[in-house]
Parts: sequence; C-alpha cells; structure tokens
Amino acid sequence: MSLNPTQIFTILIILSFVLSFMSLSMMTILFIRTRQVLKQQEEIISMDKKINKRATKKIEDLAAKKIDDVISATGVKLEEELKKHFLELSKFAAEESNEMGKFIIKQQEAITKESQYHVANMLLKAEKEVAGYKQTKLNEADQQIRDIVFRAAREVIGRSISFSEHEDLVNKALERAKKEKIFA
Amino acid sequence: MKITNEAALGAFANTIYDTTGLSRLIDQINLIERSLFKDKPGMISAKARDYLTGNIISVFEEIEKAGLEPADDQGQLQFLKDLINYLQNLPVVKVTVAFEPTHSFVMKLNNRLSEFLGKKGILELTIDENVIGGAVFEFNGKMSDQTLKYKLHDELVGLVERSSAKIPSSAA
Repeated sequence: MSLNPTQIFTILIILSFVLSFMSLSMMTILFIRTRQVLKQQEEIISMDKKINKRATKKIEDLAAKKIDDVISATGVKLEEELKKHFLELSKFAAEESNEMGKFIIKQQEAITKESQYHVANMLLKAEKEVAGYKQTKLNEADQQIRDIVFRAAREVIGRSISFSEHEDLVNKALERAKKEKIFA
Repeated sequence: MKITNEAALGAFANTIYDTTGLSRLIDQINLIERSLFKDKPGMISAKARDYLTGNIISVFEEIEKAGLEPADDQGQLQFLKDLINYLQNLPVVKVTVAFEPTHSFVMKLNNRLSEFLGKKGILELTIDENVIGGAVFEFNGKMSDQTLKYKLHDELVGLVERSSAKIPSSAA
C-alpha cells in the first residue's frame, strides 16, 4: 500500500496532535503531582514547626523549673553566707573602732606629754637666755663703767705727770722689768 | 779675708740707740758700699767724705787711726758687709712709753738696757698715751707691763667687782 504525500502529511499532523495531547496530559499530571508534593511539604513543615514549638516550650519550662530549683537552693545558701559575712564585717568594724579609740587615747596622752615637755624645755631655755642676756648686759655695763673711769683717770693722771716724772716712772719700770728677768 | 774686729764694729753700734738711728746708719753704710770703689784710693773716710757728713765719717776716722780698718778695697768691702750684718743682729728691745723722750733720755735708757743685756742693744720705741706712765718692755717673746694703765686697770677691775658684789641681784 502506498501513501501519497498528502496522506503522509495528514498522518504526521494527526500524530503530532496526538503527541501534543499526550505531552500536555503528562505535564498536567506532573503539575498536579508537584502541587500535591508541595502541599505535603508545607504540611510537614507546619507540623514540624508545631512540634518544634511544643518541644521548645517544654524545654523552656523544664529549664525554668531547674533554674528555679537551683536558684532557690543557692539563694538560701547565699543568704546564709551573706549574713555570716555581714556579721564578720560588723564584728571587725567594732574591733577596729575599739582599737582606733584606744590608739586615739594613746596619741592624745603622748601629745599632752610631749607638749608639757616642750613647754618645760622652752621655759628652761627662755630662763637661760634671760640669764645670759642679763649677764651680758651686766658685763657690758661693767666694761662701760671701767672705760669711763679709766678714761677720766687717764686724763687726770696723764696731765698731772711731768716730764721728769715720766722719765722716773720709765726708769723704775725698767728696774722692775729687770727683776722679772725679761732681759735674761 | 774676713774682718771680725768687735771693737771696730762696736764703735759704730755705740753711735745709735734706737731703731730709727739703726735704719739711718745701715742706709748710710749701704750707700758707702755701693759707691765706695770707683777708682778711689785710700781709707773709707776719705772715699766717703764727698757724699757723707757727720758722725759716721768721724767714726771711720777713729777706727782708721786705731788701725782697725782694712787698707785694701776688698777688705773694706768685706768690713762694710760685716758691719751691716753686725748691726742687723743687734738685740732689739721694744719699749712703749706715754711721752716723747728726749735724745739724752733715749741714750740713758739704751745704756741701762745694754748693761742689763750684757751687750749693746737697740730700742724700738713706741709712744702710746694710753699707757699713762711707766713703760712696757718686750724682748725675746717676753713682756713686762710696768705701766700706770695696767695698775689703774687692776684697781678699777677690783673696784667695779666690789661694787657689783654689793648690788643685790634681781634674779636671786
């Protein structure tokens, strides 16, 4: 049996329609199937989220409970330790305050004694200075009196000695110097 | 040749009594020594007569008459050197008095001192009115204060001390 080109062409077109229809059908099926899979996936994700949420809540609850337990247990101990520590601190402060009081009293006594010593010393020194000053002034006055009397005496005696008396005095002085053996 | 004739040297020393006279005499001898030997013959008195007058020439003449001066130039030079050395080594006594002494008193005082020293001495006179009267003698590091000042001072010290003792002390 032989087929003309028109027939062949017609057959080819029919075949093409058939293949297209099949292809479209398969794509439709594939699309529907894909949507189903996506939907299932979304459901799985949603379920997973729910599960996670529940698990997280449960874990949080458990952790909170545990932490509460630990805190309550530790809190009591901490409070006891703090009380003990504060007691020690207050005791230490009281002792230190007591010691400080004693130290201050001792210092006050020492300062008082030292002040008394200084005052006594200053008094003694002042008395000595006054005595020294008095003695110096007395000596100065003595010296001034001597000088005045000496000058007056020298004027009077010096004028009254004649030339021959001067010579006589020198001769006598020479004799006395000889007796003192200063020319030996 | 070394001339050491004590009599010749002493003749010059006997013409001076105090340090002023001593300095003057040494100056004159130095002058003779420097200008003596300029081709002049004869004894020192003849050589020095042109530029020196007074006592020193007569002393030279005396020792020349006594034959105590060397005749040669070298001997005369040595004599002058010995003379200066002798004069410079005469013992000096420091005397402080209150008045200006006369020359005759200085001579007498010098003679008495030389007698005490046992050899010719020279006076180093100081006039200090503060000594009032008497004298201070110093010789060979020793001192004798025989002045009215010293005595008056002693008296005054005693008087002031006695007076002070009578004054009651306010500190007592």
